[in-house]
Amino acid sequence: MSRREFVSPEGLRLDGRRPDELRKLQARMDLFSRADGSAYVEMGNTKVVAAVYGPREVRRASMAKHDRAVVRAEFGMATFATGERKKSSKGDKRSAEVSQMLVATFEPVILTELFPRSQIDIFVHVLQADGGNVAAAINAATLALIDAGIPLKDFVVACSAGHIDGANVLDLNYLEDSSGGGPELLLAMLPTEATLSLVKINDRIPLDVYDALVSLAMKGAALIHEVLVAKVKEHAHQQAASLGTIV
Amino acid sequence: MLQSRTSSIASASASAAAAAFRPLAAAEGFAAAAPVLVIDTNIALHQIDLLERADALVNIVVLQTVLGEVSARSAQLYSRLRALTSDSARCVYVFSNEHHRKTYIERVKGESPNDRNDRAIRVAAKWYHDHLASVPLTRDQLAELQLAKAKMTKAAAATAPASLVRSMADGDGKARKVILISDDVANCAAAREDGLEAYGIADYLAAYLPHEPKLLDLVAKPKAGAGGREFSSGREPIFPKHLDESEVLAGVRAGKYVQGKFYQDVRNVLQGSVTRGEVGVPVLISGVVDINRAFDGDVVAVELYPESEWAAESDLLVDGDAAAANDDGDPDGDTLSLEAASKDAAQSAGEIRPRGKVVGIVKRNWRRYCGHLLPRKSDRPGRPSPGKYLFVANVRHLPRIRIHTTQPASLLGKRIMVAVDGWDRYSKYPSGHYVRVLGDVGDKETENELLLLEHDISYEPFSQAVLDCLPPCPYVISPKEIANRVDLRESRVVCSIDPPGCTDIDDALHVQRLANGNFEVGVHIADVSHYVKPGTAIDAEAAARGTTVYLVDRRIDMLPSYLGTDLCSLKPRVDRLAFSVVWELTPEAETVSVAFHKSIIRSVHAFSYGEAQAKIDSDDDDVVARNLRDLLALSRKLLARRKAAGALTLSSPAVHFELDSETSDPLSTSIYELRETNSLVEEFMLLANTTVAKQILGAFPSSAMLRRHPAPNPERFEALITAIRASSHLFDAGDELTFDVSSNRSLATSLDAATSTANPYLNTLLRILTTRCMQPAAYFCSGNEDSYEHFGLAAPLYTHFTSPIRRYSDVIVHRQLYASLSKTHESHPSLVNRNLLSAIVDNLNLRHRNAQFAARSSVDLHTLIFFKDKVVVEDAYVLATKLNGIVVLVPKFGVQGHVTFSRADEPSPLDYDAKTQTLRHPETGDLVLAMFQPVRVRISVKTNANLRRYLNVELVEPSLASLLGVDNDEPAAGPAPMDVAGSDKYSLDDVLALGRDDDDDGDEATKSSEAAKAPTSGSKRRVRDADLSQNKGGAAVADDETPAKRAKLMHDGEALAAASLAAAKSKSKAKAKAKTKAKAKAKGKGKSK
Repeated sequence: MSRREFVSPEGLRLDGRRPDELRKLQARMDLFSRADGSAYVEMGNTKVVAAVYGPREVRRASMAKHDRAVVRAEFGMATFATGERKKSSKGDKRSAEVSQMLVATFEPVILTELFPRSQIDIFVHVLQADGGNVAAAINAATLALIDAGIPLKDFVVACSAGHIDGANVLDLNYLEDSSGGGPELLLAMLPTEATLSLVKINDRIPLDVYDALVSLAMKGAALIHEVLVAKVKEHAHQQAASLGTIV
Repeated sequence: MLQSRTSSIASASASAAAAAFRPLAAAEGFAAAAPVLVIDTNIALHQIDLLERADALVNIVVLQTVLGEVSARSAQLYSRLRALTSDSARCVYVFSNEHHRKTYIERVKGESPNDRNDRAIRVAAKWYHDHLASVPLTRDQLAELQLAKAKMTKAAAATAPASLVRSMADGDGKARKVILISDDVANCAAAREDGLEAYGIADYLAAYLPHEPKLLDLVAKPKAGAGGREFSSGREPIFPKHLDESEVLAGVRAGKYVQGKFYQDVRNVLQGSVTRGEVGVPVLISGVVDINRAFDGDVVAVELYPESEWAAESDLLVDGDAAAANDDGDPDGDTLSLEAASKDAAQSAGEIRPRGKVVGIVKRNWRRYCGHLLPRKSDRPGRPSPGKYLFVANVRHLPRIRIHTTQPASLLGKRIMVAVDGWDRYSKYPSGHYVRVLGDVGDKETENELLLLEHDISYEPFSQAVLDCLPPCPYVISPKEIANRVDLRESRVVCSIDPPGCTDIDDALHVQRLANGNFEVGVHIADVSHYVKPGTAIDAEAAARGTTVYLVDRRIDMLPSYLGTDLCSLKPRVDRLAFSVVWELTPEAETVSVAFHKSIIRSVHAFSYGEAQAKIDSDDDDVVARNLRDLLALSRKLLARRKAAGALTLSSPAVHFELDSETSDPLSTSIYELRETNSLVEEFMLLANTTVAKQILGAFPSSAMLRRHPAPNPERFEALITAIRASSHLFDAGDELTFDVSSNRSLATSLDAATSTANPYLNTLLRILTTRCMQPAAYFCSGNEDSYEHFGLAAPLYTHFTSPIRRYSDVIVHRQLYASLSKTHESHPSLVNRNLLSAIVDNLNLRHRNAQFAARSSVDLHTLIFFKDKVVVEDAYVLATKLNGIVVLVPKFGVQGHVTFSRADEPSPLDYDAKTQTLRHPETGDLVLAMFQPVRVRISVKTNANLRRYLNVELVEPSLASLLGVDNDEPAAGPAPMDVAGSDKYSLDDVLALGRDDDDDGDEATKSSEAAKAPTSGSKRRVRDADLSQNKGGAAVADDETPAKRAKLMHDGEALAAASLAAAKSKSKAKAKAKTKAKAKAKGKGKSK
C-alpha cells in the first residue's frame, strides 16, 4: 500500500515546513468601513475575513440581558472556498457548530458586563479553505474585535496540531488534515496567562499524544500571538499617524 | 501546486524560518576520494540495481525532485531508493531542493513538467557546484584524493585509454567536483552549457571507475521510449506497437479500450486473461502476439475483438518450458516460432468469452526475478564468451529474458537475480540486466534463499536495533508486574499440549470443577505484547515480517528466538506472563461467563499430543489426567456444536518429509496421525478466538482486527459438480449422490455423504478439491467490510488471538483486547486508527500468502530432491481432465502432476468431452479417463529445455499405448515436448560444470558443516486453531489455479493441521539424529588426530 509521506525522513512536510512550524501568517485590520471592526487573516493558503458589529442595541428585546452584552457569531464559507464549488454553508450543521464555538470562545473574554442590554455580532467568512479554518477564524475574530475597540480580557489565539504517522505536526494544512488520517486538535488560548479557552479533538487519542499535541499547539499559539500583537501595534501606529498624534 | 507550496513555506517565526532552509550537511559528509554525483530521475528509476549493488559509487545526491518523481512512478522503487539514502557508508544524501530558496524554480511558459523537473535537477546540481566551490577540501581530504587518483590511474592504464581518466576534483584540485549523471542526452548538453560536468551512467563508469568493469553488467540498457525510438535494425516488428499513456487514457475514457490487470494462464503460457475490476467476465487474450509483451500482473489496456471472433478458453496444457523447447534458444534470434505466433483458439467446448488484444501497458509489474542462464550453443563448452545470454526465471510462466554480460563464466551454472529493463517490439525476448549471484544451481542453501527471495520473505538475522529491544537476560519478573496480574501459579493446574519437540509454546490450558457443577476453563496465551511494545524497532520488524515462515527444513522467525522460544514460550515449571481467557462453562460446554486478564502462570507439564492422549487413556487418576479428560469431554461438545452449525472439515494433500539428519535431504514421506488431543486443543483455541473477537469488536467497532472467510462463489463449484456427476459410479451413493454448495452446512453434509467403501481416499480427494474452490480467509479491519462471517468455521466472528509468537495479527489483537479491558490501559494510535490498521492488515494478508507460497515451494524443492535418481510407480487419482492431458494427484507423496498426451499443435490421441470432463477412446467411444478415477503413474525427475528439473509424471495404467495400439517405442503417454535434454543441448550437469571452472572445489569440510547447520529449526509448526489458511494445497495448487481464480488457496480445516504438525515432527527427529551423529563424528575426529 503506497501511502503519502506526510513527514519525509529529512523532517520536512509536504509543503516544506518542519513538524513544529506554522504556515506563513499575514493579517490586516480595518478592511471595511461599515463594520465597527474588521480583519483579514491568512494562514498559509487559508484566508478568512471577520467583521464585528457592536456593541449595539439588541435587535430583539427578548434577547436582551440586563447585566451584560449578548455575543453572537456567524461562521460561513464562501462557495468558492474549496476545490469543488459548494453551496453556501452558512446554515449547515458544521457551520452552526463553529458559530457556537466562536460564541463560547469569545463570550468569556469580552468584558460583556460593560455593555448591558446590547449585542455584539461577529461574522467570519472563509474565503479560501486550506485547513485550520476554525483557528484562522478565531484569530481573525480577535483582530476584528480589537479593531472594533471592544474591551477584551486578552487576545484569543488559536492553533491546530495533529498526530500523523507517529509525528506531532503543527498547523495542519488541508492535505494533512484530510488524508493524514490522524487525530487533529484545535486549541484557543489566552496567551498572557496561557489559559486554554477551547480545546477540540476530532478523534480518540492516547493520553500521552494528547499532552504532546496540547503543548505543541500552545507553542504555535504563542507564536501566532507575537505576530498578532505586532500587527495590532503597527495598525495602531498607522491610525495614530493618520490622526496626526504621532509624527 | 508548486506555486502554492512556496507561498506557504515561509514561517511566522524568524528562527524557524531559518531552520526550514537548512541545506544539506556541509561537505564533510562526503567521501573525499570521489566527485559528488547528482542523479536524475531516470537513473534512479532504471539503474537502481546498480546504485544498490555498486559500492564503488559513493557521494550520491538524491534530489527531492527525483524522489518525488520516483514515488509517483513506483512505491517499490521509492522504498529501495529510500533504503539507499539511509546507507551511511555510501554517502548518499537527500537534498530537499524543492524547498530550498536557491534551488526552487517555477515552471515557465511552454515548459513541460518533465522539462521543468530536469531543469530543477540541473539548477540543484549547479547550486551544489557553486556551494562546494566555496568549501575547499581539507588537507586530509586532498591527500586522500591524491592517493585515490594514483590508484585509479594505475588501474585505468590497463583497461581504459588514458584520456578517459578523469580527475576527481575541479581544475585546480582545490574543490570537489560535481557531476550530473543522466542518460538523457539533451539534459546532459544543457548541463554542460551551464558549466557543469555531465555524463551518461555507462560513460561515467568507464571514465571514473575503469577498475570495476563488472559494474557495467549492472547497468540497465536505456529503455526504448513509447514514442517510436525503438531500433528496428531493418527487421519487421514482431509485436504491435504499444500505445502511449495519453492514447490509452483517452481510449479507456471513450470506452474503446478496457483497462485491467493481466493474468498469465499458468497452465497455458500462450494465453492469459484481463480482469475488468470486480464485475464482468475476464477478457481472454490468446497467443503471444495478442499478449503483446504483457507480464503477469501488469495493468494493461485491451482492445476487444468483434463478437464474432470471441472464443472459449483453450483447454490445452502448454507448459512454459515446453513452449520454449520449440524455440531455437538463440539469444540473438528474433523470430517467433509458428506455434507461439498462432492465436487460433484451440477447439474447446467451454463458454465463449470476450477476446481481445493488449494495446498498451499502463503499469508494469516487473520485479527482480531469480533463475539461471542458458548456455549458448555457439560457445565451446566451458569457454563461454561475453555477449547476450538467455535467462530462465524460476517462475515457469515467464518469458526468457535476454541479458548482456561480460562475465558469463561466473554466471553460468549459478542461480542469479535479474531485473527486466524493457521489451521492444522488434525483440522476441524482454531485455534485462544481471543484479547478483545467489549461488550454485542445485545447492540447497542457494535454492532456499531463492525461494525466500522470490516470495519476498525477509530472512536476514535481526538487526542490532531489534535485538536492543529485547528484555535483559536473564529476565526477572518484577514484583510490581506480578502485583498487576492475576496470579494463577498456585491456584490452577495449567499444562500445555503441543506437537512433539515444540519450543515456542504459545498456549496452555487449565480446567477446574466448580461447586455448582460447572467448569472453569482457562486458555493462557503467551503475553508477547508485554515484551513487544508499539513504536519500537522490534515491533516494526515483526509487523513487516508478519508471520513466522515454515519451510520443510527450517523456520524463519518473526521474533528473535530469545522471545519466541524462551521468555514468551509457556515452558513447564517456570513462571511465565500470559494473557488469559477464562470461561465458566456448563457441562454441556455452554458459556456462562467469560473474563479476560493478564496473568502469571506456571505450567506443570508440556505434553505432546501423543503423551496427552496416552495420559487420558491411561489408568492414572491424578489431577492432570482428570483435567485432561474433562477438557476432552468439553471439547467434544464444542466440536459437535460447531459441526451442527455447519463447520467444514477440509483436506490437503500435503505429506511430510522425514529428513536426513546430515544433509536434511528428504528420506521418506509419511502422513501425520491425528489424535483426539489435537482436536481438544483446537476447540478451545477456536473458542478463545471467537470470544476475543466479540470483545474487541465491542470495544473497537470500526478498527478491530478480525479474520473472515467469505462464502465461496457457487459458480466456482460448477466444474466440480459436473465431474462428480460423471463419476458418481465411483461413490457408494451412486446416481443419488448430491453435492449442495448453497450453505456451509449443506456442503458439510454433502461431503460427509460422498463416501466410497471401495476407495476411502475419494472422500479426502473431494475435500481437497472443495478446498480449492474456496476463497482464502483473510484479516480485515472491522470498519472496512460489511460481512464478518467465517464460512469454513461457521462462525459469525473470528480473529487470531492464540499464536502471538508466530503471527503479528495476534499481537495486535492482544493489544486491542488489553485496551478494551480498561480505559487506563496503554493504548496506541495503531489500535484505533483505521488507516494505519488497514495498512497493517494488507501487509499481513500479503505476508501470510507469501509464507504459504514459500512453504509450498519448499515442499516442491524437497519433492524434487526426494525423487532424484528414483523412478517410482504409484497410485494416483485424476484431478482434472484437459484436451491433451490430465492432472493427477499422488496421495502418497502429495504430488500433483500434469500428464500430457500430445503437444499443443498435435491432435490429441483421445477425444475430450468437455461437458462431462471425460476423455474417451476416439474409435470405440469408451470411457478412458474421468475425474476421480484411480490410475497408476510413473514419477521421475527430468530436466527440460530450460535446464529446469521437473517432476515428470507418466501414465502407466490405463496404458494409452496398449489401448490405442500405438508403437511402444514412442510412449504416447510421455510428455514429449518436455523431454528434450537431448544430445545437442547441454544437460544440467554440463551447466553445473561450466560455472565451476574457476572455483576451487573439493571444499568438502565446509559443505558438510553447512549441511549440519541446516536443520536449525527444530520447531513445531502449529496450525491447530484450524483457521489456518496455510496452504494445504501442497505441491501443486499453484498449477491448478486458473489466472482469474488465483485468490483461492484457502484453508480452514483441522485436517490441515496434520501436515504442518507432521513437518515439525520430522524436524525434531532430524535434530535429535543430527546431535547423535555429530557426537559420533567428533569422537572419530578426535581419534584420527
